[in-house]
Amino acid sequence: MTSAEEDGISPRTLKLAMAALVLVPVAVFVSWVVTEIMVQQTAGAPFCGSCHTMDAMVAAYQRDIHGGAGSEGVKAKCTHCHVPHDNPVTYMFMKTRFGLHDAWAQLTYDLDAIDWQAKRAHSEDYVFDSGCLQCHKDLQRASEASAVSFVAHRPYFLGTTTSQCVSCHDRVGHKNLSEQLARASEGE
Amino acid sequence: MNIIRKLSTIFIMLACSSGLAQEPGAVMDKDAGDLSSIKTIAVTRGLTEAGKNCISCHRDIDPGIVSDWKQSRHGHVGVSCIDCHAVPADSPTAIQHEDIFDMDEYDTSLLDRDVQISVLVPPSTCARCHAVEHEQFAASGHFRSYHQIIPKDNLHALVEVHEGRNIPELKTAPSETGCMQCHGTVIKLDDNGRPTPDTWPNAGMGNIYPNESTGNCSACHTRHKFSLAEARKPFACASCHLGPDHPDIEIFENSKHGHIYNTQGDEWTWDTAPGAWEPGDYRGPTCATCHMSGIGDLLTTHNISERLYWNGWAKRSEMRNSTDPMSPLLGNGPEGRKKMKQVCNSCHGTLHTDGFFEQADKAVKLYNVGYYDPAKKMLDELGEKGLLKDNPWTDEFQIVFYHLWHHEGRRARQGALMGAPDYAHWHGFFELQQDLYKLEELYEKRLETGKIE
Repeated sequence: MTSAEEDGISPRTLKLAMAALVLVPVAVFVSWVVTEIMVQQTAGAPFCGSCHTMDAMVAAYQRDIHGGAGSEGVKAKCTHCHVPHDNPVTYMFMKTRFGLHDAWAQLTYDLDAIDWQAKRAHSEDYVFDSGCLQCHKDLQRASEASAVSFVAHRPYFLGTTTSQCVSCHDRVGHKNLSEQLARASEGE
Repeated sequence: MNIIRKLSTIFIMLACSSGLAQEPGAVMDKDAGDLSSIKTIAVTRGLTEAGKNCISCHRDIDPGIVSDWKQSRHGHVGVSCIDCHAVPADSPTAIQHEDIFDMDEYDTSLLDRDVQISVLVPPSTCARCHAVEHEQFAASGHFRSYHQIIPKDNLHALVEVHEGRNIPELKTAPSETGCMQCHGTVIKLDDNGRPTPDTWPNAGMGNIYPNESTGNCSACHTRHKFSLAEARKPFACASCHLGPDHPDIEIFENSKHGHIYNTQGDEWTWDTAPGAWEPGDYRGPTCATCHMSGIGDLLTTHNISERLYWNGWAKRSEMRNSTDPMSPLLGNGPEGRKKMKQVCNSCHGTLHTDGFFEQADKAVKLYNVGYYDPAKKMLDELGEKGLLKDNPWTDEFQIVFYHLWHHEGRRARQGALMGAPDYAHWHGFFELQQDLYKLEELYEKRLETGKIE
């Protein structure tokens, strides 16, 4: 009897354990990388704009400060604003939900019948403060820099208003979207 | 020679003293009308480049507007024309100066093609900074000022067919010059995105703007001063709440509160910070004090339905019991009464307050059961028997019935609820008993003869 057998651990088990010790982290790492790549690849305008229904939104976005048209060239991705960022679980769940919905809609809906303008009236349902605040992290402190933004943002940070970011900044993210939507529907 | 020298000395002294007299004390109010002083203003502090550019031309073109603004709180904190009037290019109301106006006489180098403006400023714009006030307004009875009119066919018939004589190109005159100026309308735009003359200008409370935002902050805080002090004075409400059907300013003046205001109001402090305007700043309340202002532990509200028990304007007054701004019963009666009593108790003892509401409630109940119910019963019966005319405005029974609830009945109830004896009595219950006797006489005659007289 070998000492390993005496201890109750076979060489085979030992090998498997050693392999698992190496392979599991590798698999976790690889799946994390793959997931992250997938999440990133499906987050921005190139992916979202691959459906023609999004042409107007992408065109308006590219002309907007949030689409990189500002003097700094900083660019937000679609998901930065349109998926809640409360925590990673909600983020993944909602991103998957919205993604599946849009794929389903693309396949089964009468796409010409969608009134995109009317949908803008409830932008509070699909532009999330938690997204805005991911980048505008220090907005509360920054608001104190000018009397105008201080007065405007005070009720928001005090929690005395139910308004969301997009309630007031209602044209944020897509410059002259109405114009682009009109152009897109004329093009049909 | 001596006399001439003396006279000229006196003349110079007079000239100097009159000049001096204009200097300190009177400066603020004098400036408001002194257009020459406005043309010299050059505002740079705290404003954006685009904001300065507006002012540099408009101080000459619209000195009244710029004068208002420079005395406003907006002026103080650096909120200028462009902050409220700029809109995105794809807004339905967006215009550019060169596209609309003949700009030959003006310095167009200041104009930026990227900046689009709108003459209309909907409450959603005000809400960008005054979010809480806007939310409270949108939950109040003021919100439905115009919305409530939309489905009322009999009201449209009154103003267009009867008052407007159904003359196609003229029939909307009564509504445009009357209804719309207090209630507002759906603001329509011409091909250039400019509001049409049949819908603008108006100062109506319930305007529905092209972006569907409802309301009009400037109905009470008139442009371009948007003054807190102004809205605290009874005149802000009086421009709509007056006349035979809801003489609320007359009721206020008839009340002891109005008596005190009329004798001493010009000595009171009107511009205390929001929420901090308390007895001491004033000796008696105005409309705003009771219906809106923060007082004691009670917080300021732009929901004017919040402190009410009855709907004192309806055909029959009921306890408020709804959260829907479109409901005539919007509000919470018992909670509203509790809040209103909190206001009263800031100056009065509870014996006084409780007794006052007992008196007032009794009057409202008397109107309901003593006048409205029997009148409505007769109206319904005549209607069932075909004894009412199709045109209510030629039918004496229907005319008197209308006056009973819409004019006299409101005067009695609102007079009682706001402490105005002459409106509760002579303009109210005295007229009501006359109305009811008249209705009974007509009712009996029609039933007897089976005919409309």
